[in-house]
Amino acid sequence: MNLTPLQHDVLRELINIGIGKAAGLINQMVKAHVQLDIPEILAWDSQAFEAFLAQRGETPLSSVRLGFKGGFSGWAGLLFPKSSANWLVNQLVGGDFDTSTMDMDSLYVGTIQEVGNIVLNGVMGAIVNVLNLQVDYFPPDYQEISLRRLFTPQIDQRNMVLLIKTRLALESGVVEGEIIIIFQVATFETLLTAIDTIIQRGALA
Amino acid sequence: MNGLLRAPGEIDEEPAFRHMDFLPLGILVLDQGMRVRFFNACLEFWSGLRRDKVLGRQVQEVFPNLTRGTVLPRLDDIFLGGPPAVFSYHLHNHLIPSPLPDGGLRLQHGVAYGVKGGDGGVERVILSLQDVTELHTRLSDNLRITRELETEIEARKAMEAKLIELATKDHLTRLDNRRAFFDRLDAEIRRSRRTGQPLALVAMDLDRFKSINDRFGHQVGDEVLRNFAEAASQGLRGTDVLARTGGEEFFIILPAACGQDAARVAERIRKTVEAGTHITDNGDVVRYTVSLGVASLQETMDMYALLYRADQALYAAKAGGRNRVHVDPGEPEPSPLQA
Repeated sequence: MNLTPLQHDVLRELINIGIGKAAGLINQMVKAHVQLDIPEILAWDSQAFEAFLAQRGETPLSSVRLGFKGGFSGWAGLLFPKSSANWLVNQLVGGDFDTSTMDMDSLYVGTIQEVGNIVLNGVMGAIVNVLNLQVDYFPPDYQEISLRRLFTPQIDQRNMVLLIKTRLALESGVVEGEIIIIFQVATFETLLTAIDTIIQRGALA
Repeated sequence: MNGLLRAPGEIDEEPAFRHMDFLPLGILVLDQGMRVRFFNACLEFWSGLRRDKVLGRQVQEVFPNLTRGTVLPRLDDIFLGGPPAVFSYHLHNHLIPSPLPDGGLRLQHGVAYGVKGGDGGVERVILSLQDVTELHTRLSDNLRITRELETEIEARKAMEAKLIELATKDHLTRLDNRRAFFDRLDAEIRRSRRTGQPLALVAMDLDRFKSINDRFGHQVGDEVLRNFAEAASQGLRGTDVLARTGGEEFFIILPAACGQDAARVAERIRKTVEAGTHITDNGDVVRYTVSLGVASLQETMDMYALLYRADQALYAAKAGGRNRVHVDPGEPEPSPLQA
């Protein structure tokens, strides 16, 4: 699966917009100023993704997923390694919220569900709105599961995977952890057509 | 959901949502002006607010908690076609305050999602609230119980370790006690038989210990015993076992060591003790010596025979003038006739 450099740039820009919005929302809830950087965007077919799974597929992750159907169908997932998730939960609830009466497991899950939802909605919203795609959503889903188990039942030759590596960082530049955003879609064609339309128009709407 | 709504804004839309009245979820429906268009029976019951007091009003007037943080902007996003939004009870304080009989408030996990009208635009946002109070309480209980159990298990383990120590250690010197010594000796003899490696035993007794006690008192006597335990343990291997088996009586089990090896160890200890000067808290200078008997395990011996040989060797060291090492020759006991 190859994106042209131009398509890649447009996609990156869209994801940046969405991540930026999500970071803005998260920063209203956090004391420290959290940045979300995007070091890498990779588009793969299922075969190329299998290689990634072989390398990193077994670690259990906290996963927040958003299913969608319509103009393009699939799901977007935000995957937190335990360390990133712990750090973020501490940042979020360390200040104003009374954590003494809360048990940490439900606190952890609840917070990760909401943060994941905010980030995915930011990215998904930006892509769908700017590209003017018609999409309906499924209810948000949360699981603690390995990447491989998240994918295996659905792996299909036609499936495409968009992998976005995102770094959580503080304003000071300290990088605190990596999260991964994944789009698994039946086909990228709708997405690519919409991106090409934007490119022909010469600017992001 | 398409087609559920009638012409927006003009008629009472409640009937379109009435089928949600008795869901075990709180359901609040908003229009694009953030006015409440439906408020289900569950929410009436939870909040104590009658439906007719809420319908048609701006939601943030009725429920000011919605104006905190990021709730309203995220609801706005849904009207613009955005995905469903999650509101966890940990990050939002009681979006729709719902008092419980005990004075607390229900904990609510919220999900908001859009309902499209005929033109494909989002006309209503539904905020559904799940009561997770019981779930949360059960999870907290479980966590508390788990922690209590962990604490208890730790306390029991510590107690067990303490009991093992009491049962196997000499309280004065912290060396293995008589019981542990016999267990270890038995085990080491078995191992020696299995592996074919030699085994040696050193019996030790402080010389004229009673006179130290008589002259300086029992406290100093105890200090001398601790001092000897420390001196005798110097230079031993990790596999050697030093034990206090009686008042001023000690043993060393030396696995994989022959009589000569054990004799060298015994002589080193004798010299160390002879050269050492122990000064008590009172400033009294105490010098003492030790007699040592060495025996090594022979094929025909059982544990008691080995102990007997070591004791006999110790007796010979005492009889020979004390402050010396006597090594058992390892030959059969001479018969009275030969003697």
